[in-house]
Amino acid sequence: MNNKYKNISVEDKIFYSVINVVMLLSLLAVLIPIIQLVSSSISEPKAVYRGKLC
Amino acid sequence: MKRTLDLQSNIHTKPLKKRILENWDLYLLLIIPVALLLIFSYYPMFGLQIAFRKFNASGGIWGSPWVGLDNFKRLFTTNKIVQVFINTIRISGYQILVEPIVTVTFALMLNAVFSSRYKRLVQTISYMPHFISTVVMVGILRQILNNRIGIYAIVCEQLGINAVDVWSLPEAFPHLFVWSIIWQNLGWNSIIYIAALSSVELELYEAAEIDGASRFKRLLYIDFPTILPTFAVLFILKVGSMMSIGYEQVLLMQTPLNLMYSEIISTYSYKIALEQSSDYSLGTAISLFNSVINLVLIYIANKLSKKISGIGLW
Repeated sequence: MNNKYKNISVEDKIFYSVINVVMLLSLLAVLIPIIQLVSSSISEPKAVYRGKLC
Repeated sequence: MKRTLDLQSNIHTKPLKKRILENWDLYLLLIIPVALLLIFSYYPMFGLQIAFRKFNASGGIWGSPWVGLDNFKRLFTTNKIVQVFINTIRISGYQILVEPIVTVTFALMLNAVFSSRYKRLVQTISYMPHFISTVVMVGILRQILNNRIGIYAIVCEQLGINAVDVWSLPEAFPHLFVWSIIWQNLGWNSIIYIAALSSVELELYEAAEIDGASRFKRLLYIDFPTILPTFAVLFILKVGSMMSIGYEQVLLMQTPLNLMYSEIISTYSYKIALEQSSDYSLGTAISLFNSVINLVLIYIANKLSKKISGIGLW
């Protein structure tokens, strides 16, 4: 994969970087609420609000 | 293969009875879906007649007196109905315009991810919200957007902005509703586009690459035209259900403060028929009127799509 990535043009590298960042943001947008949901299910929801698990 | 070719050549050349006898096994398979359609889609339509009757539970559907179009006259003289229609069109129009664009963009971008492992990870995680029930989803939304203890409050605090209570802002309702639906169904809805993108012939990419096309150009001139027919079909179907926004989520997100923007046809008919006055006839009249509008819309959308792109459902 690394060799393949080295052979691509700068324009494509920028394109792939933008895609990766957008995908990472969408990943976080899905994961954060789900993690909060799971945390609230196994812990005290008020503690989760404070960033703790108990 | 030969059977398929035979079937294709037989279409409309032999009488129906002969075709059924020749392909009885295939027609046998049709019995289950046709029976399901008749029992669950057509049989309940007998109940639609209560839109033209003054329904009373003791008389039942057949024993209730006919009132003609009285229920529809009542519907159009209700003060709230104009606001309810405007709200429904506002929310569904917003959803129809934004959701497909976001989904197509996501599918195109996902398809362009360089690393296949990262692509699979994003794809799998983006499906997850689809399996969360509406009640839980609204619960998450209320937690996150709580202006005192939610993530939204924390972010606003970090930025030094005063966190406004978005649940008390009526004009925020369409945005909350549409974007929460997009969040929940983005990954799932993109499956069909990703499947369409997988049918692109590799030779096309190779030829474009040799001609010096960048990855963005390949996305624009190969990937995008590939999913256009799928997009058109899904768009027509979406327009056909424009007036039928699911009532569960709206009902769960409604507060007395946002009713001015959140009362839509489905929640209004639900309340009329089952909550406030148990007026089943008026509730059915509202739903029937809604379905007629949907039917007209799907017909117009299909005509337009056929005229513009040559792609239609029928």
